Amino acid sequence: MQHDHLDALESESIFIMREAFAKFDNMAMLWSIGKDSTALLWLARKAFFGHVPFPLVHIDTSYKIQSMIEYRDRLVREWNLQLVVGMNTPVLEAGNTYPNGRATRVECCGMLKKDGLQQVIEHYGYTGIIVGVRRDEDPTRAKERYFSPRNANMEWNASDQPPEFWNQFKTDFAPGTHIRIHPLLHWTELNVWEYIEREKIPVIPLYFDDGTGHRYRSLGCAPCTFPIQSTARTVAEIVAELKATKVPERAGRAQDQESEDAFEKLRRDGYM
Amino acid sequence: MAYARNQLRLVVVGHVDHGKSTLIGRLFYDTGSLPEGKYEQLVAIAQRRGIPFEFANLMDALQAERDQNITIDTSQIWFRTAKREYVIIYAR
Repeated sequence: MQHDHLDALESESIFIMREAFAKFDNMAMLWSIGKDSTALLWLARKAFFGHVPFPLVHIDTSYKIQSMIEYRDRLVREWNLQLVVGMNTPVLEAGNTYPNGRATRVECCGMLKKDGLQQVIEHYGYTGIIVGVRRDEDPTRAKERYFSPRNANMEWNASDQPPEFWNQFKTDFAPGTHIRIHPLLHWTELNVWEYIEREKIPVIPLYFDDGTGHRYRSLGCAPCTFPIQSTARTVAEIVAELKATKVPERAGRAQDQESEDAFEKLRRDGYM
Repeated sequence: MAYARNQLRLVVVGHVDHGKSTLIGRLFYDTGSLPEGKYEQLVAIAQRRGIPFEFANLMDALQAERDQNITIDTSQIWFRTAKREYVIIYAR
């Protein structure tokens, strides 16, 4: 059988996840319910022979599209997953959010997603966090490492990153810090959809045209995520669309557009 | 691996201020490979800052790179022709 580019990406991701599992005693994987982290979840099931040996962390902002939560809970049951839900309850109870008009979009993302994640990491003491970010989705993520060290405040210092030559990875961490593990780093958006098509991974139907000529290309919170114009109703149609489009993937994510460095600031402070 | 032959990884190295980022910016622009709206966005940023637009800025990701006209660390970007896929790695 011919070994194609998806096989190569798949084995690299599985290798990274197994390396991480061998190095970190207390590790978790972020699952945003989107296509990338769901493909990553599929890879984790393959890497560990059907059983995912670490918890999946979903940072729930309470503003997620309702069908995302239903889909999440269904897969948790069907695949027997260990789910940890993180929620920044103090901020939500005080109502200091963008939909309430009491924070900018970026501030809201920072509190509900970034701080929400930090609370979970501190509470459970995770030292390794698997995240499904990819280099091709954003210019700051293009600078990422497979094993990315974060300081005690979760901050990312792009100018001081360990080299990663010939599959040598730095997995040391100081007390209170953690490492982000990025097994999908070398995948493109197109690769992810090609893989979903090949493996028949059950993705959430929000990615398909619901009959209105629109679909979500990137999923986030309902108030800040907008569908794109598209009539793609199947995974094959999405693959064909992506081969032709020049519109960037995160064009429908409003928080990125608040200022020229909005997304950089979020990521530097520890956003995924 | 078959994939390693299909995907060509290309690294650009050179002395500081000798045009590494400019080369890549021009390559993307001239081949029509930039995402929609990217060029216009960069021209607007240059205008707001009162500096001339440069093709090197097309690859800037961080505010410090825009402020100091440098590239920080490395980036890997995807470039596609009808024949094959490239990953361009550029460093400071």
